[in-house]
Amino acid sequence: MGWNRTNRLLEVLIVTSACVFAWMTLRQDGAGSNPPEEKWRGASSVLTAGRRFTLQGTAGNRRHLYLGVQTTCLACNADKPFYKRLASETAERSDIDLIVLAGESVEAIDQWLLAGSIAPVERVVRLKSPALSGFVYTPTLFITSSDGTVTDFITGELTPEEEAVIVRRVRGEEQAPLQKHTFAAEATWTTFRQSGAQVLDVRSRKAFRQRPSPAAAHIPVDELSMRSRAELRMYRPVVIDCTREDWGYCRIAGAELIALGFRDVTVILPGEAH
Amino acid sequence: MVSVLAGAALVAAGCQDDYSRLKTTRQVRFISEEETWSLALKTSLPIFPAASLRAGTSGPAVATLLITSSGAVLSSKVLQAPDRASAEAFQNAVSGWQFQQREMPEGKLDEGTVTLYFEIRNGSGAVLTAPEKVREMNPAVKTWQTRR
Repeated sequence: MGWNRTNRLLEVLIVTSACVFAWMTLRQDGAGSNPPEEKWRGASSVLTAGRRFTLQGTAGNRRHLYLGVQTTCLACNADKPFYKRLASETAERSDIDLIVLAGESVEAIDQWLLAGSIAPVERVVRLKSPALSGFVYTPTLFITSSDGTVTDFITGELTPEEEAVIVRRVRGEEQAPLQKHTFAAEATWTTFRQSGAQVLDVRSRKAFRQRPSPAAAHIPVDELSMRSRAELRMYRPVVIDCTREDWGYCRIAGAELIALGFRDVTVILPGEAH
Repeated sequence: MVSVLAGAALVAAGCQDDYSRLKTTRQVRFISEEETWSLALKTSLPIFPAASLRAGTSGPAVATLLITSSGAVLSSKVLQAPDRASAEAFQNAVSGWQFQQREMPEGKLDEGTVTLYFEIRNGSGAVLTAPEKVREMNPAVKTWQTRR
């Protein structure tokens, strides 16, 4: 009898621990718009205007101004005075919050914000894997509507004109939404490589020969299982160049890499690198 | 020189014709590269060709093999190689490879893929198998030893 009770208690303890562990794992990543089984969908492409982005714990009835930064990024440091201005602009308004996203620790970002007098900030969120949430470039600044749809999106160092537009958009004034990816196609890949990402092309040999992509490692999708681990570092981000390929193949490739244990996989779709 | 190259091309074309014929006339089961390496018993690697070393050509070489139930390589086809010399060296080497015997229906073949890496390191040529390269690139990944 006593033995049965101990067993039952042990089972309850194991189940509870598993639930707590699962809950903590889900919370760790910050970006909670997708349930775990749909995580791949969130990782399928870079974030851009029109897509949805929500974080766990953010108020659903408000707009959000997200700022994706790194403490070592030159453009982020150059734009610090403008971020300070944005923080005071959002503080004056009741319908929009400023949230800072980064791949670094919250403490490091807090110090960085403090040094630039960028306050107040509603939240600082560490994304365990920025590329999985759609970030492949810093600085990235975007605004979401109250339903989480990205309305404005801009990357890179800002011009005074762009800063003025962002301020008007934050204030909710009539203005065409900002939609600018700083990088042109080649610059994109250069940026990825400089940030340590490995660019991968998964087209067939025939397609690759007809239209080569010299910047990328070429591994046909059906040879990924072995060659990806032999030719790519698993702990470094992988960016699949899907700008010349059928999306379905790239999706399979991305899913396979994640299944193999690659943590940070992003697929660039046609048009996104321009 | 031209005739040697032409001859090599003819040999290669002959091998590929043979490969295609076997694939269409025999029942073939596709096996993954991981499974192919795990079944390998004897994999004598090619010597890095002197011509490739002089030309400085290196990179991955991929071949598909038709393997009989006794584990012998019946035919092979090089899909990709850094150059012609590496492709020939690869083709010659894999013809002698031996895999584990498997129980299969009469006449059925396994089609497996193998990748070798022709690399130039400190001025000399080296040839690595895919599992060796995985261990080198991602030491935390568990792979298996292949016998040579």
